[in-house]
Amino acid sequence: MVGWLVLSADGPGLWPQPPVDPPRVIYTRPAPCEDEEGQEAQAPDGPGPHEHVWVDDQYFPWFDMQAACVNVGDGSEAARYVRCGDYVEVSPGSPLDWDICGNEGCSFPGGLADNAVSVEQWDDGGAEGQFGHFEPTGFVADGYITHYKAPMQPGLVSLQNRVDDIHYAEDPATGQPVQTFDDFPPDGVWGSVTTITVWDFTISNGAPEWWRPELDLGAYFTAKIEPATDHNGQSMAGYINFSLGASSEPGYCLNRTRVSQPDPQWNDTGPDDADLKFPPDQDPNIQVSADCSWAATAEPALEASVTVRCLDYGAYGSIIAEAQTLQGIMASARLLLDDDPRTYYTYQVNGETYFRYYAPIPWDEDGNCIWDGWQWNAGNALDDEEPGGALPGDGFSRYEEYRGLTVNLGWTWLDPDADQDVFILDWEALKSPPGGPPLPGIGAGDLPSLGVAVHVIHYPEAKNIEYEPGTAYINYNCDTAHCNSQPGVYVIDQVIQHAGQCGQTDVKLDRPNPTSFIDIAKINALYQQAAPEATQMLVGHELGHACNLAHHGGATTRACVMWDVPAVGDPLHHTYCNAGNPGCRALYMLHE
Amino acid sequence: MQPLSRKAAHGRRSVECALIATVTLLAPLWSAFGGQAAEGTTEHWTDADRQQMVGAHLALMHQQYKEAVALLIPLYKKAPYHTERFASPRDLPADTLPPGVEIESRVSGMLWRAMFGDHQYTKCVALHSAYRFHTEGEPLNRTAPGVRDMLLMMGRRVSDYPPTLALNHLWVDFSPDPLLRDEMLFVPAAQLGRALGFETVTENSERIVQLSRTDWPAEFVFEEGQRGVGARPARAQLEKPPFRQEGRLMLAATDVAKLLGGEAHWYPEVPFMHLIIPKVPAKRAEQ
Repeated sequence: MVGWLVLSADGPGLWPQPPVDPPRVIYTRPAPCEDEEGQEAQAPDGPGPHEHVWVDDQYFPWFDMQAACVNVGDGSEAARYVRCGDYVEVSPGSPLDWDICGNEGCSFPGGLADNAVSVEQWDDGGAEGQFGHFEPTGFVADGYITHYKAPMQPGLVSLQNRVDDIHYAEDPATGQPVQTFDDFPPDGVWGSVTTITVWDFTISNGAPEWWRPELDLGAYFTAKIEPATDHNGQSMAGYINFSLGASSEPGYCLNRTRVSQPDPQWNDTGPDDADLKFPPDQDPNIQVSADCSWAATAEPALEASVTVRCLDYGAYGSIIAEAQTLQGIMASARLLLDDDPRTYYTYQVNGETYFRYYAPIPWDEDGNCIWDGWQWNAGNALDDEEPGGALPGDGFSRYEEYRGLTVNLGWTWLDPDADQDVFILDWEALKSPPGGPPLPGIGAGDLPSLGVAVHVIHYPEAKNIEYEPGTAYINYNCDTAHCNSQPGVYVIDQVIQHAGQCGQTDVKLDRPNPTSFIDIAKINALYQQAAPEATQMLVGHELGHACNLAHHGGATTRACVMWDVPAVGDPLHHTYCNAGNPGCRALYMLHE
Repeated sequence: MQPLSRKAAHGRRSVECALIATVTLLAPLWSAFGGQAAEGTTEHWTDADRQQMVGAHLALMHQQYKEAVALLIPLYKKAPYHTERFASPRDLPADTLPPGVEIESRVSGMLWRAMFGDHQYTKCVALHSAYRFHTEGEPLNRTAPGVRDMLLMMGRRVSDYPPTLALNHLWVDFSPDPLLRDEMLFVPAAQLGRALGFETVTENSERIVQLSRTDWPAEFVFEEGQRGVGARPARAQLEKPPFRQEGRLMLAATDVAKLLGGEAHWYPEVPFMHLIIPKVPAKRAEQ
C-alpha cells in the first residue's frame, strides 16, 4: 500500500507568507533496488513496513539544509593571507541537512535522517581565482575541489560555496537507502562568505629591455605591497629593504677608471667597487648602507622606490626586495613587468610556472653578463671569434667588446663579429705637452688595408690612461670573461740606426709594449716629395710586423706592403696581399 | 763577387761588380789589428762614455747631426759595436719613450745615422759594410737597399763625396779623406798603418812612413814617389808610388791589401773600398 499525507498550509506561522508553495505530497517508498530497477516493490503480508513520511523542511526550518562558510587552509588566521597565484586548501566547512519523518514508528532515531550534502558550486566573487585539485601532473581547475588558486590581482576575495542535499539516507531497519526530503530550493543554498586577503609583493622592472648599462646611468625600482589593507581592515604596510648584487669590474670600462683621491667617493670605480650601487641621496624614507649595497625603508610602507646608479659600462647584477608586513608576512618581491595589464616575469620548469624573485640589471635572459638588447649579444661572454688572419679573434672577448673602452676620451663598444680590432698608440701625438697644441702624430699608415679595425689613440689626455703604462695593455681593467691581455702598438718617431731601414719593430702583438719605431726624418730625406706616401706604406709595413707578419720576397708578390725591405725607388704599395703568395691578409696574428 | 786579377782591377773603374784584389805577395798573413779599435767590448767602457752616447742620441733626435758625429766618432774608435739600452726618463727626457719601452742603440748604428743626417753618404756605406762584416763575415752586397739608398741620395753628385774605406769590421776615419788618383784609392799611410796595428814612425814632413810591429811581416817603409818598399822580411814593390797630400803620405789601399795578403772590395759607384785583411798572423814556418 501506498500511504499519503496532506500537509496543511495554514500552520503556526513559522515562515512568512506568501509565498507559500502549495501543499506537497511526498510519496515515500523504499528506495529502488538496483536489481529490480523499475519494478514497484510489493507489500509483504502482515503488518506492513514503516513508511517514511518526510516533512517538508519549509515548515520546519531548523531541519532545513544549511551550507557552511568555506574553510581555508588549517583554519588559522594566517591561512587567510594567500599570495597571488599561490594555492590554498579549501573545504566546504560542515554543511548539514536533517529530514524528519512524520510517521510514527520511524526506524530513524527520533525520526531524523541525516542526509549527505554535496557542494555544487564554488565562487570567489569574480576574482578570477581557480578552484580545483592536484593531480600528479599538477593543479587541475575542475572536478573535486580541494584547493583554491589565488588570482594574480591582489585584493580581498570572498569565497563561498553552494551546497545541495543528497536526499537519501540508509534506513536503520533495513539497511537499505531510502529517499528522504529533497530540500528547497532545488539548486541548493549558498554558504556564508569567507573573505581572504590575496596579496602580493612586487618589484618593478627598473632596467627594462631597452636599458643598457652606462656610467652614471640610473635605474628606478619600485617595490609594492598590495592590497593596502587586509580582510580585517588592517594595513598591509611593512618594512621593505633592497639589496644589490653586482659585478665588480675594475674601472668603468676596459681602459678607464674614476677613483677620487685622497678621499674615495661612493661612486668611484676602483677594483673593489661594485658596479651597481644605491646612491646616498634616495627618497627621505629610504636609508642606505655605507657600502651603498643595501637600502631600506625607515618606516613601514606599502611602497618604496630606490634609484640604482650604474658605475660600469659592463655592469651586471640584480636587485632583490624583501618585506615584512605588520601581519608577519615575510616575502621577496616578484618581478612585475607591467601593471596594466598586470604581467609578471614567469618561467617554466618541467611544466611548472615559477616567478622571478629579483630584477635583473640589465635584462639578460641568456645569462652571459651582456645586455640582451646588444646587437651582438648572441654567444658566450668568452667568445673571441672574429674571422681574419691566421687565428680567429683579436684578444678581446665578447663581453669585453660589449663593455667597451674609451678611444680618445669617447666611450665605444667594439664589434665582436666583424673585423678584428687593433689599437695604435700614436706616441708622437700622445706626448704633446698638456695645454699646448697637439703635436702631429704618425697614425696607422696603411694598416687598415690589412682588414682589421684600426683604432688610433692619439689624444694627449689619453696618454697613459687609455692603456696601461708599462705594458700598453688596452683591456687592463679586466675581470669577467677575460681571455687575453691585449696591448696597443706604440708608433714612435725614433732614429733608426740600420741602413736600408726606415722602421723597426722588435716587440709584436701580443707581448707587452709592442712598438714600431719609424724614422720620419729619414723617410723625409730619402723620399722627399713622396715622403707622405712612403710614410703611409712604411708605417703600415712596420705595423704589419707588429701584427706578426714577416717580410716576403723571392717569387712572392711584390704588390704588398710587406714586400721584403723596400728601398727608395721601389713602387709604393698600399695594400697587403690578399690570397696566397703568401697572402698577408690571411697570415697576420693579433695574439697567440 | 768574383775576385779579379790585379790587372783587371786596376784597368776597369766602372766595372759592375766590386773589385777584389787577392794578393799573396810575400805570402805571410798579417795581423790586421793591434788593439787600436776594440771589438765592441765594454772592457774600457765608462759611465762617461754612456753619457756621451746618450748625448749623441739626443742630438740625433734633434737632428743635430754634426754634433752627433762629433760625439760618436771617439766612441766608435773605442768600442764601435758597443750597445746600450735607453729608456725614458731614466736616460732620455721624459716622454721620449713610453713607460716600459726601451730602445737599443749601437755606437756604429748611431754613427751611421748621424752620418746619414749629415749627408756623409759614402761614410755611411763604409760603416754599413763594416757592420755587415762584423755580423755576417762578409762585406756589403752592392745591391743592398742601404747602398741603393746612398746612391740615390748622392745622385749625380757622387764626385762631391769623399771615397771611404773600411778595414774588416771598421770604418777608418782618415784625415785627409781618401782620394782617387789614377783610378786607384789612396789613403794616408800612417793612419792606415795604425788601423792595422802597426807602430808608425814618420818625420814631420811625412815623406817617409815606417810601420813596424812584432808580428810578421814586421816592418814596412814607404817613401814618397818610391814604388819599392823597404820591408822585413823581404822588399816589396807597390803598384803605384806613394805621394803626399796635405802633408800626409798617401798609399794605394790595394797595395796594402797585396802586402798583407788580403782582399780589396771596390764599390766604384759609391765610391768605397772594403779591405779584408786576415787577422791571424801566419806562423813563420808557413811563410
